[in-house]
Amino acid sequence: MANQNTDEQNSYRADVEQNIADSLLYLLNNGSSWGDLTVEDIATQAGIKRTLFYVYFPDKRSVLLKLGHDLIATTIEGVSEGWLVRDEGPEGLRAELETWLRTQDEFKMVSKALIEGSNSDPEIRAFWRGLSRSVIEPTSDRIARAQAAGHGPEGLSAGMLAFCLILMTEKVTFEGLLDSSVEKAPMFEALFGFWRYALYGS
Amino acid sequence: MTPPTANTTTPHRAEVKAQIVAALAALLEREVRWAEVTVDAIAAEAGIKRTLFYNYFKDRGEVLAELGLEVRDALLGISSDWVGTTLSPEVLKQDLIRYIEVQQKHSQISRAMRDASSSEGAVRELWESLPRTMIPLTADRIIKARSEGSAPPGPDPHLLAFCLILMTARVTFECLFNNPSSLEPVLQTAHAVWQMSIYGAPNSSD
Repeated sequence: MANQNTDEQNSYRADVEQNIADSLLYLLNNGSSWGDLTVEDIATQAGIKRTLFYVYFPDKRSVLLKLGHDLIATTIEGVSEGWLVRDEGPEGLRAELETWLRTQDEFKMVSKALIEGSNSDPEIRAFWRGLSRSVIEPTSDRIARAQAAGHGPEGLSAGMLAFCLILMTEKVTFEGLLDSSVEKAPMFEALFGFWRYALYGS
Repeated sequence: MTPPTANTTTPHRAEVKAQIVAALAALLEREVRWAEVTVDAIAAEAGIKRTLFYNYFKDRGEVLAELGLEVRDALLGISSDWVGTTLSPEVLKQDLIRYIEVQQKHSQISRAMRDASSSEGAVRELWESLPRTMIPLTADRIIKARSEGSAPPGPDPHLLAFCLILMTARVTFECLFNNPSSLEPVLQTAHAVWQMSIYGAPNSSD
């Protein structure tokens, strides 16, 4: 009996936490900027009292980290697990990059908040950096395999090239997706060109 | 309520203003982090009274924004030299080296801008727009090199410049703030990426 009660409490707690996280997501997706948002705003959106908010989260940063973890980290793990594992030629590469871009597009407002938050908050910064790190390693392995097979760029460190490409892709998609003056199709082609060079040497 | 910052910029006034900006630069140069920078400290460094500071600036953020403009001007200074020169692999290498030198020289200001950007709106705007400063001129150079035949046709020059500049800015800050010793090897790689994307994959040795 006692156990069942705890389970119910836990699941209730999880529901409220999810509701709070969804409220932050809603606010971000509707144009609120991370710096201006207060705990009060998030609580109001969630339909709860400010004091109740603190029963579930110590601060607004914890809510953002939950969103970042649930949405982006989970998706990136899914992406990086299979990321560049298969070698299906340039067209396979194109499909993988397109998936990445779609993911970025879906969560761009959360990314924006994380990037803004990471400027001043070391904990958010560590989380955000960890995300890019998780894709750099598989990329580096893939470039090294291409080099060993004789069609990757010669004389370049696979790790450094992966570092440059991942940071470029992250920054370009992020800025490009938020900027309506940047045309998305040519932006993708420009990015794809760099990746094709890294993995197929042309 | 707003302080009297009317257009009465007498020489003396400009002088004191510059003094205050230089004082902040000096503090940051000594690796005082933005969180520890106070108006008191800036005024003391500038050799003026704290109350006088407020005749010139609203707060420390305004001083940092002013200092940030110096970084932007330094970056524009590099790219203004580009207009007359023809882009070649060798020129490209020299320009990247200059870019790093400018960023290295201003790395404490950049770090302060990053740290301040969440609380200071004007600083944030500047900090976010800085990397883009050099995109249009880079695109012009690529167009020129292509029209002169020294570079083959390729992807849209503006988007190519967009990718290259954002990559360079991003890896530079990542290295400067976290691992300065990796800056040189990373930039050699970045240079190879520039070269390949503008001139094509190297088939023969240069």
